[in-house]
Amino acid sequence: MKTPVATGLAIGVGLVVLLGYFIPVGILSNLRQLLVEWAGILAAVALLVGIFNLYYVHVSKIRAGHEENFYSYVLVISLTATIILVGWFGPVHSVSRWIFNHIQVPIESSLMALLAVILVYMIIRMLRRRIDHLSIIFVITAVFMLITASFFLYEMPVLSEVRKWIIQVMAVAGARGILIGIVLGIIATGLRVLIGTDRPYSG
Amino acid sequence: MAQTAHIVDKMTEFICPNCGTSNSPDQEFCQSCHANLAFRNTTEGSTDNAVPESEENQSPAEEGYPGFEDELIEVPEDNNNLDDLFKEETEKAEIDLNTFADSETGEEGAISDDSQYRDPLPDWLIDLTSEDVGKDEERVLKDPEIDEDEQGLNNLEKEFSAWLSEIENDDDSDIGEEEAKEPVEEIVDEPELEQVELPEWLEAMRPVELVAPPLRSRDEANELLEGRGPLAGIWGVLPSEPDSAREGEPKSASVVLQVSENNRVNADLLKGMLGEKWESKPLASSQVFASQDYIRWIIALILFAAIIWALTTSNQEQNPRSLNTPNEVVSVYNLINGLTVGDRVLVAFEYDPGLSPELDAAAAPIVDHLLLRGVYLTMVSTSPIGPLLGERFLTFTQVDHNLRTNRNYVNLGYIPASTAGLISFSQNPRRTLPFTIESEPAWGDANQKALLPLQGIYQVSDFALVVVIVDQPEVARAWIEQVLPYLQAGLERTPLVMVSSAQAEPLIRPYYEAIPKQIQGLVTGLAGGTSYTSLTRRDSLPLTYWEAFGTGLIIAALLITIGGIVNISISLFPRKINDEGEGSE
Repeated sequence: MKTPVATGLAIGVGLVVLLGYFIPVGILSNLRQLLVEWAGILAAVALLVGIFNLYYVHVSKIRAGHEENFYSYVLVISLTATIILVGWFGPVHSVSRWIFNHIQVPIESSLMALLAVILVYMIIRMLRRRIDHLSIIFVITAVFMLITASFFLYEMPVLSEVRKWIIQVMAVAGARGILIGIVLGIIATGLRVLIGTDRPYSG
Repeated sequence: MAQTAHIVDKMTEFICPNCGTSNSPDQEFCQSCHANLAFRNTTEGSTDNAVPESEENQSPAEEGYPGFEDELIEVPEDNNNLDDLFKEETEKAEIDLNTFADSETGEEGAISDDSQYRDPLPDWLIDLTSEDVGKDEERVLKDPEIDEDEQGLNNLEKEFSAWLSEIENDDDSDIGEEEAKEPVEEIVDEPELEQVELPEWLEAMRPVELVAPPLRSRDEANELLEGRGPLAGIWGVLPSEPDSAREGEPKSASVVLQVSENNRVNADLLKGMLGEKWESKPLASSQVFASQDYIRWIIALILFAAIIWALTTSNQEQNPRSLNTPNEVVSVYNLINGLTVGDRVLVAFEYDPGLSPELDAAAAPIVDHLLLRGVYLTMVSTSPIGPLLGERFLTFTQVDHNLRTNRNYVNLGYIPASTAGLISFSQNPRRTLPFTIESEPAWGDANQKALLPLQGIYQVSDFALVVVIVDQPEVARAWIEQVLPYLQAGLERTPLVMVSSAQAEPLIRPYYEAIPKQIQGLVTGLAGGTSYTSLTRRDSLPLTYWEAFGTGLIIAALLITIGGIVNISISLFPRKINDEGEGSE
């Protein structure tokens, strides 16, 4: 065991928080709340550390004189400008809102719009590269859902029922299986951390 | 003199060259190993000399033969007298040999004179006379069988010497592949042997022998010529290090597979196939890539043109206002309708800017309905950009309400640590988020009251409703699993509703379909927002997007259908030609 102190701390904190849920004793509840607040503070500090690390890495790339460091320049300049402006004016000032509303939101929304075009194109290409029953079923289902989701056929009696059945029965059945698997995985991971088998904090 | 007689008897003994056992002269075969001793007449002198000295001096008594125990020469313990005794015995032996030679020539007197020394002889040796010995020797010389054996031995010696010379010649020269095959061919070409065709599996075993390193005689291996150092030029110098540690290029063993012609053809075919694969192929013509680019541009232009046309020409008055509203949407509407003026509602903005058009449109009628009910809003987010999205949402979609910060709503900002932060916020919201996004104290203190939207809020269950606008199923699950227990801990259970994107609906809907319901309402995507608008009957953002959204879906479905049919035809057409070509062949 490389880090017995870290392992002991993790197991101890995990047990205290877990017992705080099942045993509503004052000291356990207070201790659980304190530990959870510390986790929030540490996560916020970790976010700042991540931002500084990103900044440092790209500044190092620029200093190293790499040929393809155009995007490093863009990142460093935009990050520096944003920190200065938002730090000076505040996060809800009109300047800060202008940066957010006219740069960040349009860029990300445009990428999503391009994603729609790319998806349509890739579905068309799929029928040229791979023609089998699965691809044909997928394309037919996609076309059916697209058509029935539009307002023209949204209220069609039979089609709308079929669409609801696909969404509320087939999709939900698969989603339930996924959720059950996720929960079982979380329980297993928690138990592994509590018994010291899994130590993600030890690096 | 008795000792002298014993030595004479020993001189007449014949020592087997095979095992070294002393045998009497009249024995044709060795009494120990039964080797044939008939050839000793021709090689008598050399045979005795060939016996090793150690074996020659070995007494018969030590060999354990009967009758010799009493005839041991008593050797004095003093080793200094051994030389004298040896000289004395040698002289006596020479004298006795002369006497024995005389007896061989027929002088009986001499034999009779020597008979006095033969008293201690064993019984079988007493019966043996020199005459009998001579007769036996004559019989051996005249016996034709013995002659044949002797000739056979001579031939065997010649073959053995010839074989040794071959080995020496082979060691001197490098054994090549072709040379290694020669002995096999010679053996096959012998006239005495019937030539047969060896099976393939037996032929395949030959390389094992051929690649074996050549044998080196022990003398050659041991007597190496020293090449360097003070002992240079001296043979047989013991090496200072083992041979395996010496530097030198290891001998390369040639591996020549004996393959059949069929295998060779297949190997050549495989080699050719691999060779073709490694050859650089010319790049596909740029026309293919250009056509793909054109197709992408055409698809994008068609989609954007249709959506823009729908947005510009849409008539909101003709939009549906009475859609078949799902139950989960109706549940949300009923919950909001149940709120009273002055209730506090928590709204979480848990989505990214990329999906803001969809979720803004879906959440706009709900928040509009909330503000119409006169409630105060409190905004939080586990995403760092969520608070700004909330501000943007209120600015762009709720302009009609003339909202004022910290009066109609309060933005508490970012909740760090996602799941742990949600737990902390649920346990004690005042300690987790003590300030607003503008760094003002949100909850007040002893001298100052809390902000109006937060007055009366001490725990999360004090909110009248919690609305989570979310685009990721994981975040929705975190809110349901971590916050919901605290919402249901109060006397009046606080309902939790979700406004989700269409992509997250399948993983969120099970929480609504559960019994009892984990979430009390669900509005999904633009369709859900449009349905909610049909309930509130107010002009809102979803109605603006709805026709363009539907047009875009129809165009996308048409493009997929047409493009799929064309691609299937292109893919099947060459196959048909190939099938016809193969059929004609």
